[in-house]
Amino acid sequence: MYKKGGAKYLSLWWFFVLASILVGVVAVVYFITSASINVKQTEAEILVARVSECIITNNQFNSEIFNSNFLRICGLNENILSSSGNYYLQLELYKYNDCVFGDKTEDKVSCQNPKEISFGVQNFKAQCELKKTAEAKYYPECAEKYFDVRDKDGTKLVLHIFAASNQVGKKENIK
Amino acid sequence: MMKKGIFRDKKGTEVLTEEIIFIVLNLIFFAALFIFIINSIGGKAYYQQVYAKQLALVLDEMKPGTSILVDITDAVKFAGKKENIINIDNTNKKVVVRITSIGGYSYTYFNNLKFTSKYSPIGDKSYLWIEAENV
Repeated sequence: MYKKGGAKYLSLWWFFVLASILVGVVAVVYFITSASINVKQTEAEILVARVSECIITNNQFNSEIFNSNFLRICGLNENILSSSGNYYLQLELYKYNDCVFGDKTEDKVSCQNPKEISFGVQNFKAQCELKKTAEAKYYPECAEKYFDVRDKDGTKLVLHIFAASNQVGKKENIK
Repeated sequence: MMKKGIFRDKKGTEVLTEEIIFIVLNLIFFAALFIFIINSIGGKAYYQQVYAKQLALVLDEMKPGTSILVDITDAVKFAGKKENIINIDNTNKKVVVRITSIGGYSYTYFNNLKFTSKYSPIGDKSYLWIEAENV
């Protein structure tokens, strides 16, 4: 009698065990393999730093950069930045008198009439603005910086460099 | 007359003991299975991603004429091989890391320099020597 009853409960128990193993294995594999390390912010910051180091020397800005292929000059790959769909880079140059400075913090700078050059996905800038007010995991991460610079003639200018990255990486097939 | 209750019923106690042993064995099986999965796939997949992203960021910051030595001891240990773990694809501008047996992970860099890499063991540690030069 016990044997018969035990077998009955054992089969039920086994069904539960097998189902749990299946769910558990799928869940663990899914969570582990889908875990993502976000380096988009760091990438955007590196891009801003690379560009600023390249085009500003001792506070002097080479404004001819706007008329030439500055990505190539700065050793940045144009295909990746313009066509991969993962980046946005924008340079805005203002006359110093066209800018209003708040309380000397970078994000309080407000300028008008920019001379502009940009590469990549333009929507990223708007998405970064949205991200300041809402949680958006799949939106790009951005970095920006304002620089007080002078051109060759000594004219005071404000340079704004904005960069965004939305690269998430890619799984590669077995070679 | 036999008293009722699980610990007073001899046959019932035997069944209960069997069930407890069965449950404990199953729990051990579960734990071993999850540890195996985490160690064999999870840890490797995670490290694969970490190596690809860290290396891409390092390459983004490198300047012409510079070289770096990257410690890849853990990657070699995880992969169980020394060759073809980390590849820098200068054409497509991406770092490809292959540690797991189920596939690799790649991350793009935007630096336009040409990178050459070489596996360099020093003592019991493994390193990747990377040099950057103008295209």
